[in-house]
Amino acid sequence: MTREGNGGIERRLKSLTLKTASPGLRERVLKGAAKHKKEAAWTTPLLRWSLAACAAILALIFITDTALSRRQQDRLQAFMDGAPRIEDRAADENRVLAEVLGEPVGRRLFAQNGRFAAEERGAGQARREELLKELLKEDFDGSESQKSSH
Amino acid sequence: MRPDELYDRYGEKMYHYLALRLGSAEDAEDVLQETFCRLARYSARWRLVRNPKAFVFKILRNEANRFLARRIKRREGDQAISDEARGLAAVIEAPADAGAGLIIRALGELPDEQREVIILKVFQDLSFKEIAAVFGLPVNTAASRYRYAIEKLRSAMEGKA
Repeated sequence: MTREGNGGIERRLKSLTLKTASPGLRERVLKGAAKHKKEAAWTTPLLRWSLAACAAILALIFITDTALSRRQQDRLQAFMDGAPRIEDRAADENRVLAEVLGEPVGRRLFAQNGRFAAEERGAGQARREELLKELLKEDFDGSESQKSSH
Repeated sequence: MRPDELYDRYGEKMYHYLALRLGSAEDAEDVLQETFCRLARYSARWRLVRNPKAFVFKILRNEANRFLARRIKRREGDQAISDEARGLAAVIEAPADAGAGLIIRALGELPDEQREVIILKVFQDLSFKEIAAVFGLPVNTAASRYRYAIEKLRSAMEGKA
């Protein structure tokens, strides 16, 4: 009974006639769509994001490559000029300091120099100069000499 | 798919869906125009679409919802939705018998989601699978909405007959 009733409702609904669209709608719609397509951007949002991501990755690769090349070039230049490695230079200085100043002072300076060498390895030119000044300041500091005179 | 081919295949059905949902021939024409503009932008994706009919009606439904949201914003509250119901008579040819008039009125009084399923199933010949794809719902839910809507229409007809 219910199914027949439902079927009857469906038939009744299907029998309703819908009004047709106004004449010329097809042409208007297609003309508008063609115009819009012509003016619209050729990219989709996904494509735009992908292009932006690719550009960022390329820029990152370029920057990293430049930095690495420069570093490599500096190291090669240093090697060609015969400059000693920072570690070797620090070790030599420590040996000399230990010989000249004796064991307790030498050990302290040895530790200090080790710290400066470690910092110098990771530092830029400006920081190197700053470290050097700091080292010189500590070496010729009046308070150190006062301490030792006491 | 070319726009003219798309229009020849679905254009009339799309217009009827919009006219029934929006209750106004003018609004239906405007939204149809907007939908074709959107579809023209998606032309690159056509090769990926498995069910063109469901895809087209999904885009169309989204566009209609956007239009209704704008209309609600312009007017007060849910008045825009009730306008649809009143406008149904404007897009359906004048019924020959009183029963047809009653069913149009009952159709207009259905909840929006149920009326939409009726429009897609009865007037646009979409399968439940396609309706489910348009709504983004399980097939059973789409079928249940249709069944509830038909039941409501039947009881409305019986009550008033």
